Amino acid sequence: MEDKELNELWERFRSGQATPEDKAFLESWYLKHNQQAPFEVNDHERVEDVDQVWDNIKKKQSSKFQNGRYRLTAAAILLFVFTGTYYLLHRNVQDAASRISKTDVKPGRNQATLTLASGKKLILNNTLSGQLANEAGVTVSKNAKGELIYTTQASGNANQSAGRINTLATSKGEQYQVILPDGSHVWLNAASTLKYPVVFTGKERLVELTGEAYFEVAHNKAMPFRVKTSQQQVEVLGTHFNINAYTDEKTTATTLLEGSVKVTSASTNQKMIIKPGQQSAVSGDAMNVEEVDIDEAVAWKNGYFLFNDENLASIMKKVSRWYNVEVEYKDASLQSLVFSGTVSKYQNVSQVIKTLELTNAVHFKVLDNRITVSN
Amino acid sequence: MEYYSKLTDEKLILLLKGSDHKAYAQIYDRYKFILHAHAINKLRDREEAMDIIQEVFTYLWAKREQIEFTGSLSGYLYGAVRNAILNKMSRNRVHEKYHDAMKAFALHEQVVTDHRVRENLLRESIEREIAMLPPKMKAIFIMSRKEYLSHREIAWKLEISEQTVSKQITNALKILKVKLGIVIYLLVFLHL
Repeated sequence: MEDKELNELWERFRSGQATPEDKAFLESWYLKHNQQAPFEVNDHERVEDVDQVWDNIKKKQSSKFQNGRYRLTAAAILLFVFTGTYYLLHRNVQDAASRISKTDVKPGRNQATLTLASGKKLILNNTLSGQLANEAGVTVSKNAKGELIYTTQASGNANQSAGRINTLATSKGEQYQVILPDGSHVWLNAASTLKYPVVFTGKERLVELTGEAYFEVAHNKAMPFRVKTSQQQVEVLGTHFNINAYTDEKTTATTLLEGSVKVTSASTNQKMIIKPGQQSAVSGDAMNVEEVDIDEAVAWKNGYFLFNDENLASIMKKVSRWYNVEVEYKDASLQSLVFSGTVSKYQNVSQVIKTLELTNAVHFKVLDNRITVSN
Repeated sequence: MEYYSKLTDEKLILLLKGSDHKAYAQIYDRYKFILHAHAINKLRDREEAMDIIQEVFTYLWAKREQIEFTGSLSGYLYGAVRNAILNKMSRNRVHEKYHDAMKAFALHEQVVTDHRVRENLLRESIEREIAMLPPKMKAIFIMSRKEYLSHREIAWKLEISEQTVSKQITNALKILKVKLGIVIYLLVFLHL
């Protein structure tokens, strides 16, 4: 039997086209698969796992009874603006330079501040490139795409570099990408901080986050990847997910795109496993999970704003972080207006607010990095 | 739950079809360790095994009215877990890591063509795994399945005839299903 045949066999099974012979073969093999030497799990872990699964099942089932969403706010529909988004996606943000005037604000850019273990700070921008530092056998460099990369040198001594922590921080109007020493890729949104060791040693890969980041974690069963934020801890083996843990948001949201992650609430120690397409929300002692539009959660990383019945307060918080502007409301009730739509984030702020104004529900005035919202 | 733990699998299926969430919970309690042990043995990964169990039981509740339990509840659950695992393997090229083993299987082992024989072998292999479970977990499974009170015993305790018991249970189920179904269902959730 060839790999090709087997691939086709699995494909038929996956798509529900398996013949009785296919099933007979797969199921017969399955019977013999891992028959010997049972996997070692202790009693405690067994109980913990089956209880966790039951919790997840119950939560999902009870949430069906809370479906009634009572939105009293007026929902205004935005025109979908996809124009140019695709081409702008991979374009270097800083090149999207546009004239700044007092009445407009240009978009954020690929920039961040890296703090080395020694305490030395480096501003990562377009003028800096190549090797930036050497952290005891670990090379810190910036590649052509503007990503920060950690590479362990063959001659490097893991013990020497162990325990050295680096911090990558973005302010408002900045974003950055880093490839950690284990190959995991992290996109850091504006006004966020990621702390990580220059080399992962021991039993886990622990990083700390404030703000928002999208993770594509390299698979390593032996060393779970853990992301600590103030309200929760997320544990994964290798997967794609987004965490929104801004301190000015009550809720920490974890959205899963691939694989499986375990979210543990910091206050209650309650655990929850989420699946692709689901989002967990941790707020104080409360913990919930729901099905969401994953595109919405990672829109920022893909270069646009995507709002799905989102209130203006939440929209303007995102605008404020990316354009580094202050937002003021003439009337506080405007904050609960709801909008839907898509707009590229690599345009000036005037484009974003123009799109919002199309609804005639709100008006904006921009002056000196301050946006005033009125009706 | 005391009452439910003494019910046979067949009764639990009936109650489940009538949307009795406690019966569903009892099925979970009865099979959780054995199915989990099997999934973890096949997948060698705790998280993935948990996904499988969650998937199988979520489906069981969601499709409780449509599922045809042609054989036994256990037979259904064993098959469901196997299918969920094979499905998982079939996705995202996960199966590639099993190809060597599969090629060796194709060369040296017999394919079992009769699906009923495969179902029996699956049952044997899963129930053999019960023997490897810690005593307490073994007890939950074996006790609840084999040592339920028979109709005869209930009749004896209540001093009524065996037939009446069967009839009363059937009636109770009908009423539960038709009249109280939704109320009970909601009450169950309030208690959870």
